Amino acid sequence: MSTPEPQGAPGAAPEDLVLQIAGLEKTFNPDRPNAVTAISGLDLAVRPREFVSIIGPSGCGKSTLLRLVGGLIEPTAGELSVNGRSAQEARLARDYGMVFQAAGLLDWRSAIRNVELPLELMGWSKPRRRARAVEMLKLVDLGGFDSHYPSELSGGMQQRVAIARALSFEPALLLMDEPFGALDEMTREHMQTELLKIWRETATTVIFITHSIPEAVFLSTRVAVMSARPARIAAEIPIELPERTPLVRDTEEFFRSVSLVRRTLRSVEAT
Amino acid sequence: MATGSTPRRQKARRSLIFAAFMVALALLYTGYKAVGQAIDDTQRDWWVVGSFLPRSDDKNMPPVLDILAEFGKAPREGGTTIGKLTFDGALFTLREAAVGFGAGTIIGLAIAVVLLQSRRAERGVLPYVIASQTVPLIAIAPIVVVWGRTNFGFLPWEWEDWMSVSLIATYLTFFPVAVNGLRGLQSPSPEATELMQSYAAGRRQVLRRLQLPASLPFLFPAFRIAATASVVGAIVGEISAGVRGGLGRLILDFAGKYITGPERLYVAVIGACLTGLVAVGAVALAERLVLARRGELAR
Repeated sequence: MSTPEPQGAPGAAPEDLVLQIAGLEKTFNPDRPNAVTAISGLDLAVRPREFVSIIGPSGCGKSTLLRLVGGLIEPTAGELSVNGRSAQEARLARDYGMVFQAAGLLDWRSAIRNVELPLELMGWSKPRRRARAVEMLKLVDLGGFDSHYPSELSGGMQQRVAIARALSFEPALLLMDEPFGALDEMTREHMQTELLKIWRETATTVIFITHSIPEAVFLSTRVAVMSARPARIAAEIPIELPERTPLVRDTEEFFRSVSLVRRTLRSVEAT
Repeated sequence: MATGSTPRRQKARRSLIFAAFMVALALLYTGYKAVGQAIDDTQRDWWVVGSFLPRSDDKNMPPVLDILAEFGKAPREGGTTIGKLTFDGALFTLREAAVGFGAGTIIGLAIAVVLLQSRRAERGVLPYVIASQTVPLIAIAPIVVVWGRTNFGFLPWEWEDWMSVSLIATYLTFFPVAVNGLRGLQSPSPEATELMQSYAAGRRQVLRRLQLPASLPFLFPAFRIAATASVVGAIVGEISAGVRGGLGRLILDFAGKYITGPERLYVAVIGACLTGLVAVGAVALAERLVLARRGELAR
């Protein structure tokens, strides 16, 4: 693969990368008058165990990028590989855990059976998947809620079940599309702390889409700023924080990073 | 469950309400009959008033108690009672309806699953599914029976006339199941479908784990309609095709002897109503069981 040195991962050899994107392009309805180029010339590289947030003006194609990475739609041009495989191959190899803004739990399944769903599809035996699901629900602090149905759970709890479900089969890459977008501020901050805890415990690589700057700064090791349509990664900002606890939100370093991301976002929008 | 009412209490209350409703219905009937008779008697010469209301003499509206007594009477001395005849007929018709309902459900679901596969199939075939229901059932029923007698020799079992009636019931049943089933199969959100894709789920897995369970809330109302339609189809099918043994034939026979015993026809009609209630009740019971398993009654 003849890929230029990825910006955000200085010195990393391609085989060390979980995700490698070069010159990615996506045009919807390519041969028609209403053709829309959502993404053009997008480069991004993600190393194992990174937490990369993607932030950008609304409607800039963040979700499109996530769907391309997840192999749900096909790129028009460019290269995209996940652990050296194409997005389609990676999807079929179940490399992805996906979490959307809507929890998307199946109403007719209890919390534990929702977590079991992907394992069921992958042909795990019943005792094995039950044991794993119990473990996963504990991980997201929903130990006593195994037999609760989604209608009996709050929005934040539903989203935690969705996260447990996405992580249950230990995917190489966790793809999250504004997972906390529908939650209130308090729940949201609590969920962010939870997610960091889970990320540390499971050593997963996360790609996180958001339009909240503080959220991106608090969670990420790196924030990638997307330009407006046609989208590309306009800037990448490594985030260095002394610690990742709720208290860090009130520190000087946190403000500085938030301000840096905001200024970058503004300059990207201006061009 | 609402507080303070055990399931048994609820059941008792429900039977009480049903009994009260039946009594109210009988009273209403008797009351109308009395009023109508009074008008007939006092204003015999002023024909305008009495004539636009149904005649309420004993021939047109036999007294409630006479109808009830008729259940225990036998047409022939020492023979089977009317009640038993009606009960046997109801069982016969219910079997036809149940077989028709089962076959209609299977065919309806199969059509829904096929139409789900492509928008083009849906647009091309659905109008014909709808058009199929405009064919007058009474007209085709005799054809189906004659056709059944001569064309099903290849089956491993002997074809009987009641099966042709089931076929007619099937014809009425598959339609609501197919239409609502298709809507239900299409009901999952795009996110839910994408999620299944991200698990690399095959088409069959998506159908079994996502689309079919999601379609159940759409299917049960269709099943209720189908249950009623299957009983109506069975009775109408029996009448127009002249198949013996069921309620349809009984209604036809008793209608022929209306002049000498109008109560009998009423008994048969009550039997038909109860048969329909049994069919719908069975579906409602199944719905409760399924929803309880899915935790949807806990809300």
